[in-house]
Amino acid sequence: MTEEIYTQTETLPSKSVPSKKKDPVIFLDNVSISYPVFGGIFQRQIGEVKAVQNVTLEIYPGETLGLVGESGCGKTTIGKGILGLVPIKTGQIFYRNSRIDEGLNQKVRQKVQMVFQDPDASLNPRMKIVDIIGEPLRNLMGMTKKLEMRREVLNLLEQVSLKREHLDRYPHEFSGGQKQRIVIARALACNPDIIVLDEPTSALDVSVQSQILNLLEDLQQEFDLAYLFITHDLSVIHHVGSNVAVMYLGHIVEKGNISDIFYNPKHPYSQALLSARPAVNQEEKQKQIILKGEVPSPVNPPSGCPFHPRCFARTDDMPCIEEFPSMIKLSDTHSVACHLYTEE
Amino acid sequence: MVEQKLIREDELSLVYGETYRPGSFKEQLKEMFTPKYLAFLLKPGAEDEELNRRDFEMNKFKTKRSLIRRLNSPLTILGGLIVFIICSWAVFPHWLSFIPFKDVAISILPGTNRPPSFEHPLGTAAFGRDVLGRLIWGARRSITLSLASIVVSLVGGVIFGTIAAYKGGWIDNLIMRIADIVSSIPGLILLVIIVSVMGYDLQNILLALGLLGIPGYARLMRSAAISQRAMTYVESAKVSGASEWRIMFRHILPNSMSLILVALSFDIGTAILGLASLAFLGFSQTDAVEWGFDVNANKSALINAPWAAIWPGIGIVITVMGFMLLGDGLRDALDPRSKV
Repeated sequence: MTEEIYTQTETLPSKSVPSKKKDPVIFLDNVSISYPVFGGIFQRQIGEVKAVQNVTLEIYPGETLGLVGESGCGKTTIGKGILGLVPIKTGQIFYRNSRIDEGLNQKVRQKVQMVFQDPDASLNPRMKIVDIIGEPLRNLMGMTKKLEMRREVLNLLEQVSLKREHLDRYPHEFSGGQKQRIVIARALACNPDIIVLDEPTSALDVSVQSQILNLLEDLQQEFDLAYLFITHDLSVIHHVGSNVAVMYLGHIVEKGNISDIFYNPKHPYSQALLSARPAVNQEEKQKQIILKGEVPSPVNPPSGCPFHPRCFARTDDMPCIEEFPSMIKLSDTHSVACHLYTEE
Repeated sequence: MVEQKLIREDELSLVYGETYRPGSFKEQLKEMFTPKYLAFLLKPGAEDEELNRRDFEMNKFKTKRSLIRRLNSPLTILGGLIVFIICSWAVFPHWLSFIPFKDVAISILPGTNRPPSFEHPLGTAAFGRDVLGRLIWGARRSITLSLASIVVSLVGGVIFGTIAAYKGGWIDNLIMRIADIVSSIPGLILLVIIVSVMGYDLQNILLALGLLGIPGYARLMRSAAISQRAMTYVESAKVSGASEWRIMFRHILPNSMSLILVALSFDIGTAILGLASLAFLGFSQTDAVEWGFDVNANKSALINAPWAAIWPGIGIVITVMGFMLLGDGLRDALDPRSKV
């Protein structure tokens, strides 16, 4: 580790790991989600896409958990599973003490919100902004008076730096960054505890991305929000995250805080993923690890550790092909699912 | 005088933003007293200075965002004018027709199939009945029947189509198979059966025509709604706690209506002709004045007195055209994304 990196990790105390004594806001216990595949005559179910397999995750109040991994590894499905948008196959999801995997009631819906990837598509083009942001207020808080709703929506708009004249406009009259602000305002409407951010910046320009990230950070400090930040942009997570979970083919392969994952990655996949990150400084540049082969299909995942066909650290005497490695705790914050490591 | 005006313009552009382009004082005064402006007083938030919508609406009025402004294209105005005239014929024939109902429907007058003259601008039909008078009196029955039966088809089709598209699965299958069965019934034969069993009752015919039109609208609506169901805003509505009915009819429905509006304007003519074909088969009332009946009754005299059959036909064509033009303009104007 160079000295520069060391100082970087030192400047993170404001968003350091929250103490584990608190109860998690969201707790995923061994959750699996799969999508059916239909085909053949009469559209029978001929298989299933195992999008998420045996995922265990905790999100603590006030923390930002980054969920990283390449496309199609099941990041978004976890987010949708928490919101009850896709059915859970096995396992349980808890919001504080209540189970939410069989449907969210209105109280929980207020507290668990989501920001979708494409701000353009997630706003109803025929509704005015005041109605769009008023939608959760009306449905979840039972607010019916128009004037009351306008006042509340104006408050929310001001929190995301929009103005009064935007109240009665339609979504197509806004730029991408403004639309994402509107989506964030809608998610904030019911004072949530946790917001699932599904690639909130990937559809935006780089300059707008940083504005949105700063806004999200400000809101987190103001309202003590927890974020589940789903992204494939590692530098974004490095900027806003406090904890990171790395996913590969529906499994979580490594969990840890920022310094664990970014400066001391243990799992071969995390090492490869991080080495693919573009570096600005010459010193930070590492030797790129090029993985062989393609990502296997989640319809028919490989046996044992899903990463074993592409793993560069595997030797023939390791049991990777036969059994899936269990989560091994390396330190208080850092755990990895790999046969290379053993519990101390 | 000049100075005063300058100050005034300055202030207004401060209040209404840069989009404001001041006109003459007279124009401003005129705008102040339009019903639109008076309606601002009733808009939500008007009593609250902070949330006031009035000056925003005023701006909107200027920047071509209002529905009236958006409808301001020549073809739409033409369509609206046609629909207005035909509908006023249907509502006020007593005042608009110079000939009483008795003379165009019941009495037998001298002068069958006379060419157009000063007394009868479009000529006369059988029994000396005035063609223009029959055109005006006939609008009532034709328009009532076509609009009412289309409303039945539209409401039924939209509801069933949206439910089928959103729910999917066995509900979708059930609704669409029932629609297949209904659309396999030959409409004219069903109408003939209804008329011969239950008598010539306009309500029954209207209902039967309406019910037979439901499958077409249901299919159209289903295809439009299925594409909308996959959009992210439906998921985000679920996240905001919207109930299934609210998602179906407040989120998906308004976004899939443009297709329906076009089909609607075409079907008005079909419904008028449906009644006409019933009259063609001899199921009609002797005192009924109706365009389709006139076309059929007078087609035997097409060589001697072409005006008697052609004018009601032109009436049908123009009505359909008027509704189509209006529907097209309305569809564009109702889409908030379209620019004027």
